[in-house]
Amino acid sequence: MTKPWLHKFIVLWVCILSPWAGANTLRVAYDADPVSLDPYEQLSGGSLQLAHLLYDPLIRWTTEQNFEGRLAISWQRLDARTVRFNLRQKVQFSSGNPMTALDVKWSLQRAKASPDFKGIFQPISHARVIDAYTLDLITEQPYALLENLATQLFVMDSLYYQGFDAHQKAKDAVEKHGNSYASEHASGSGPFSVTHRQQGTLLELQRRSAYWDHASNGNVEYIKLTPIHDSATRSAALLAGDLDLIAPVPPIDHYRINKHPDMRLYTRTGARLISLQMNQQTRPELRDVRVRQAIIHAINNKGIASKIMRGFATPAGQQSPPGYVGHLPSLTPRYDLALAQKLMQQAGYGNGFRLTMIAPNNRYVNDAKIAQAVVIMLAKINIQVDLVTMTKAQYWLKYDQGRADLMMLGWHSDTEDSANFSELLAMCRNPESGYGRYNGGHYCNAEVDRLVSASAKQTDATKRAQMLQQVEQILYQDAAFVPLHWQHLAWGSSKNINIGKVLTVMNIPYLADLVVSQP
Amino acid sequence: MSLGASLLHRLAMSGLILLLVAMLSYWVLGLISPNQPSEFGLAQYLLQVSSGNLGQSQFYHRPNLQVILQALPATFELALITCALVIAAVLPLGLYTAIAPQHKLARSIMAVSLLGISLPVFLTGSLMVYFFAVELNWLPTFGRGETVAIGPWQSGLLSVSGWQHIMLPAITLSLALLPLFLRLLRAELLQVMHSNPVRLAQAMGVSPWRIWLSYGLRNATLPMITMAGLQFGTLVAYTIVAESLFQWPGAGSLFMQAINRGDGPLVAAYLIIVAAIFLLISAFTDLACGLLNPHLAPWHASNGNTHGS
Repeated sequence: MTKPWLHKFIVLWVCILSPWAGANTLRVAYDADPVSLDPYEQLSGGSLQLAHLLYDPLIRWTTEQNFEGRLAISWQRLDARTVRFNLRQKVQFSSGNPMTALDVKWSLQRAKASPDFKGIFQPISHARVIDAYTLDLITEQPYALLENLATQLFVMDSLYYQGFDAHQKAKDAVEKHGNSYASEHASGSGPFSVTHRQQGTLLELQRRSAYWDHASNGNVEYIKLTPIHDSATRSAALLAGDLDLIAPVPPIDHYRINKHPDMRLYTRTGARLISLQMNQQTRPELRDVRVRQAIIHAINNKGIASKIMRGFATPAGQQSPPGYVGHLPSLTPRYDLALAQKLMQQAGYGNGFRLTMIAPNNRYVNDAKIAQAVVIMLAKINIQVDLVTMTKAQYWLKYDQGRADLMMLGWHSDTEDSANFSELLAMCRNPESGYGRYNGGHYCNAEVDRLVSASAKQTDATKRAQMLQQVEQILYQDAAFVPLHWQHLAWGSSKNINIGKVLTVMNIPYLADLVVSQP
Repeated sequence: MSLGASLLHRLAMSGLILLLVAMLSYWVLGLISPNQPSEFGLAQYLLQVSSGNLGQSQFYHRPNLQVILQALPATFELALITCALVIAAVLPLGLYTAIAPQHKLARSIMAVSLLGISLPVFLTGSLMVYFFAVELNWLPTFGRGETVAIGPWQSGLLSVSGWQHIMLPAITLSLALLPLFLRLLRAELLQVMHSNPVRLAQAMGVSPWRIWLSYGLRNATLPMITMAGLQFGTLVAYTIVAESLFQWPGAGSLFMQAINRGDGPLVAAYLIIVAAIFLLISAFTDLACGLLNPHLAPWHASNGNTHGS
């Protein structure tokens, strides 16, 4: 009696799994698992990538950085404060409920109640439902970037999240790091739905037959997403043919994947700025602009980009990467050791001083190595740095508390626009408005605040760009922070996948539109 | 000391050790998750743990015990196959290197085994992946493959893909553990073979195979079991490395991820559970040794004086 049941098990299992064999299954590995199925729980790249699979935004960025209607088929500005959206009809959520303007209004309210997203949606005051498929978004003040915000407005199924769950908690609750209903149950209008989820191990998605976008040529039927934390394992699994797509690819593996006849490496310049914040609150020395300039001039960020990052980063002299409206080509990296030493002497710190520094060791590419290089570079202007690196889970708490004199920070603009950098990293800290939320240096300049606030209301693109470029110029002169580099992006895949065709500059792949060519 | 008293003594010692581990866990908990409420004191934590409540994971939002128990089958199966591989390899290799200690092949086996001890697991593992998965494409690189549910137990040993997936991590682990056992078995066998009873048996014309198996191996069993009990700790440490390397969804990789995510309660619970398993295993090995050789058992009459004092 031992063999037959075993046999049955295997047969049963083969039957269950056979659909996988024929249809196009995309086996993907990222470095981490999306924390939640709720698009409004955690503001992170991983959450956004998943949100585009399970939900649809009103509009989205194309790979060429233009806007493209998704749940909105068209939109027009009615006045300085109002944009009208005409919604797509006959769109079904995965629960079967139809999508209407009420769902959009409800989703906006939910986003505005989320601790992570309320800052982003702050400019929008409310939504006005005109009819089932027409809706106005109204801003507090004239606002230039409403379309950028609409790319983050993922529409959720309002009827599905009504009522209470088994724990007597409201199903629509947004709870950060909590076990809310929405974090484990998803009903969106997106191209895929969840068929199986074992958090931290596996996420399986299946293309919805009822998805509205019939124009898409995408041919991926199933997605198997496995988080693989160890980058060497991730690369090896791709090279061994166990995976079809991986990200990120560490610089050390680029060459191997690139030269492999069956593999493809896709890289592009990225827009994530890696910087150091100089804490003016903990250290009076850092309030002296000459000292801050000396630190910037002592750090060879070109060397970091070429040696530590192996050329897989663009050395930065400002916040805005090339292509952003605020980018000023004249603000280049400033490494000059002799000048740095002179500045220290002028400031009266020729003999140097000690600083504490913290950096994460598993958040940005080579973060801990970069921090160690900075320690050595600053020793040359007699600044002794006591460095502590830690995992990202511990890091953000320390960062929020402003526990060190130098702190590493990476930032990708939430709106793909220069102003977002300044709003969160350079404006004076204001707990009420949320401005300066990640300004770990406590740098504060009224002129910067004035220009950034004015740029939000300026709807003339040329004038707005001038304002934001002026901001960059001021931050450069004031040495508000240490710009290191903009991190590049790298994806590895099998040859029959060209991820570059569906990848946005925010590093979001539209996997529903991915065409896997048959070998 | 009687059997009962000996068990009681053992239980008390185990309790004490668990208490110390729980205190250590509390300290680790504060280290990893510094934002714990300050009123959550040591006494409260110990009380909670002693009632079987190991707290709740900050990442999974489920009881730690449940999270770890769910991951344990994967680790258990990996450990099981590793042990099977070690035993399957150590018996013939040990016998051979003891029978023909001067032979070139036996010498090279011992030399390679030295390499096995000195190479760290992550290096052997990476090399295995490189050769058998990337270059030869024989075996998969990560994960458990298909699993079959037998009640709450997710088993990977009932599918072809499951066996394919377990090979690389299991071989990697057994390569790390094998040398120690091989050297021990060889040394024990060589020692036994030069003892008087064996010489007598040889003189009496008992067949060599009978001598090897029934005198040699039987006498070597005891130190092997003791060693196995002691090496369990090493196995636990190695599984953490191997599971992380092969993305094996077991308790070891769970532990590593918990550290990376700063999930203090889960890390603390893992420490306590591993300590409990360790105590259980060491109790079993002592019991097995006592049964095999009553002279060593603490409840044996002649051991009463020395042990009790």
